[in-house]
Amino acid sequence: MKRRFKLIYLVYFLPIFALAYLVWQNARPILDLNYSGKKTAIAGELVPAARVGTEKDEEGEYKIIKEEPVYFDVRLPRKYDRVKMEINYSNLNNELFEAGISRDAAKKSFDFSALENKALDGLSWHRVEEGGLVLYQRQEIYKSIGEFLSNPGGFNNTLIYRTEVLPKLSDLKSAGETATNFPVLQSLKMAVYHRGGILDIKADADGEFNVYVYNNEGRAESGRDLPAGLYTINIAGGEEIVFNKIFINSPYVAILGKIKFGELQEPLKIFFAGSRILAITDKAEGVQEIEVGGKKLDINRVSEQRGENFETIGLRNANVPRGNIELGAALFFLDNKNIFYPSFENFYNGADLSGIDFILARYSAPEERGETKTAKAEFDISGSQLSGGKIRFLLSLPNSSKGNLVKIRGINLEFSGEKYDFKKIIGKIFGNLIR
Amino acid sequence: MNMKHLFYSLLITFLLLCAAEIFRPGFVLNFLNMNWLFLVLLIFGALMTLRLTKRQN
Repeated sequence: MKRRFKLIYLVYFLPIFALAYLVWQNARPILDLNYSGKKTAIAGELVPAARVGTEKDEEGEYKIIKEEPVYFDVRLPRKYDRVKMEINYSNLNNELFEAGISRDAAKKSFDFSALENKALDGLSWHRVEEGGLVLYQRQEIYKSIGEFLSNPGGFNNTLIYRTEVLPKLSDLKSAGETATNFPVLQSLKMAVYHRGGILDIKADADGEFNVYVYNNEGRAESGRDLPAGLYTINIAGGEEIVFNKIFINSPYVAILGKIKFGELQEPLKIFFAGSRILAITDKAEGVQEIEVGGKKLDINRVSEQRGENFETIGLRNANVPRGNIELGAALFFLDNKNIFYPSFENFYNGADLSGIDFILARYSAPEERGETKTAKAEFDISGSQLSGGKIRFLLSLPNSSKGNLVKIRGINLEFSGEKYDFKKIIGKIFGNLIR
Repeated sequence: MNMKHLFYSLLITFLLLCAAEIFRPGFVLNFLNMNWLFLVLLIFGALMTLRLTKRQN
């Protein structure tokens, strides 16, 4: 008996259509997302909730940030290489407004990009703009960014903002070695000028640790027989690790960013270069008065950051009597004999620009439409590690106090990645099956 | 009976998508709200049951 085909049987194609639609959505090289701060299928809510409020005015509903930082997670359906962020906001009550994106799975390390910098916007200096970089000069000396990069300003009169430039390294001819003779906690990141040959790094620690070496371009080096040049060494252990001694066979060692001291047997004198220093302790034994650049800095409370700003960028010394303290925001040196500057000082909120002649920034001012401003940021996420397929976006207003800091009216995200080649994918699957 | 075919098709879709979501979290939920599909499935299921009961009576 011949059965007639009924049109209604076409509904059995529904599962196929649904799957095809989802495969297409998951494989698309571009993902557009309009985020309003509310939880969606892909994006989480803007949190912590205590720092964010929801309000409404004639322009519509918006999120108001009351304390920084705030963040949200986005679950990515596939691997993307870049993300463009466009943020609409108004009523910014801070000098700096920045966006960050997580680099590691623990979401502890972030890449930042400037959204608005009122200090730079207000500068009436000479400006040279090229490829997203802006060189602000008090007096016009450089005609192009390239000219500045090949012969940059001095460490004492140059600041950088959200970019990396190497100051001119010269006369690094001394031979010797560097060794710490005090306990260092958790990790230490150092810039080292190596004369070539074996770069010998030794550490004596109570616990397991890893040593990472990166070359000048940020690429990890697996061997230790290295050509002459500047390297970044990162010695990292767990939260409780104590490095009793760290040895490097180069006299040119600068500690980058921060150094966390353990219990000191005797007062320590250390040198630092920059225009400010920050100090914090997380233990009662770390409460003490330290001396920085000839000024007293009283660390009288646990977990409260204290800082001292100086009028000029320069080399100064810090005297730490007891340890159990973290010093940061400068370049640190164990002695003042072989000083070299592997990086410029970063621009920060409240920086004194009176002694500064050059600022090199990766920055473009936001566009204004009435009261609302639109700022753009772009991140390379090809090397970012995801946790559960999620990447974290952070909105930061550095050095701000509590209050109505900024109204967020909407965030557009555009993720872009490599277009999948289905021929290659099928070839790979068959290749694996045959193997 | 059209209702029956629609219901079966939705049920197959729902189960298939559930399986896809279990094997690859986010594959479905990133782009589709399964609650709506489940609601439609329930409505068609209820309608189909009502019709069957009516016919039997």
